[in-house]
Amino acid sequence: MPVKPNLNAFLLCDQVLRDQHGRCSLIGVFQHLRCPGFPLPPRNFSVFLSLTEVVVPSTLLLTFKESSRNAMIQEIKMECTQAVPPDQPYEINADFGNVVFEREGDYDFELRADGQLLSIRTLKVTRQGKEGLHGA
Amino acid sequence: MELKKILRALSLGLLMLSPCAQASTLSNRRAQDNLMLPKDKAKGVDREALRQELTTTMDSVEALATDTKNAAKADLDEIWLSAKRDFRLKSGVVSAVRDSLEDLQKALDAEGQAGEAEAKKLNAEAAKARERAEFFRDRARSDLKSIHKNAKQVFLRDLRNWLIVADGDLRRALESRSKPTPEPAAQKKPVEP
Repeated sequence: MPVKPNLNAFLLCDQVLRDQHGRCSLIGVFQHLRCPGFPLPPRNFSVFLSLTEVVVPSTLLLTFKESSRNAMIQEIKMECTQAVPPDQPYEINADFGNVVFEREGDYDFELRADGQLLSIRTLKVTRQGKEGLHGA
Repeated sequence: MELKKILRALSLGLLMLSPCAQASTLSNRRAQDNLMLPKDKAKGVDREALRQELTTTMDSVEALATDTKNAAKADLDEIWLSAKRDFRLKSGVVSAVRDSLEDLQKALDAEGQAGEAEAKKLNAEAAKARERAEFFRDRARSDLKSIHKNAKQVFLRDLRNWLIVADGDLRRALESRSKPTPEPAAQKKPVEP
């Protein structure tokens, strides 16, 4: 069984900016969308990943699916071919474009490295005014 | 507060999270049956009913959220200190339980998908779904770790027991605070001899 990379960060945001030194700035991090009606207008967002102990070459697969129906919306395949020093993280941003959320519910981002499940990040999409008592 | 529903779902959760508990009590046998995969549907599995039960439990957890918000900090601290090895009654406990229940629901869904894939001989899909179910179970466990006094010993049975005690204590504390303080009795005039 191949060695699993270590996941440091797995975040959803509006945009990932990279400066000339390769440093990343995340704009508008979110994990919950509240909206007045459905379907939502097409939306762009990014998924930021930071990993260590990535074996080169390896393949990362990020699957975006509607959780309740287990229906795949989009899939992004990333080939890790460039070796990085062991003390530095492997940082990747996957950009999703024109995504339409047709109904409220949970949407999962499933990250796999060479077929092995690393993590699942859930994005909650709810109708405005229907929120519960979060943080209680 | 529909505590019975919470306890019911937590006993199901206990079965899902702790493999050794699966062979536990006879009273949990129905719950164990509910966790069978769809290929065993002929034996009377009702996955939809179980899902419905988890959903209603979430509503009950929201009700518990209101009680926790209304309680004074001193009451919460007192209840927390009164138990030697239990869960923390503090801000975040309800959302932790809610997250845990949601993850249990997802684990259940994934197991259902695994069963369907197995029935269709899609072994790769089934393996992926099983991996997902395991992931959600692990996350359900770790959701509860943050609210446990002893993070090494996380059992949903503890949470269930704690809910019984904490709910009673909390309700008593709220009731005692909401009661108006009785006015001092009018002093009797001393009877002249």
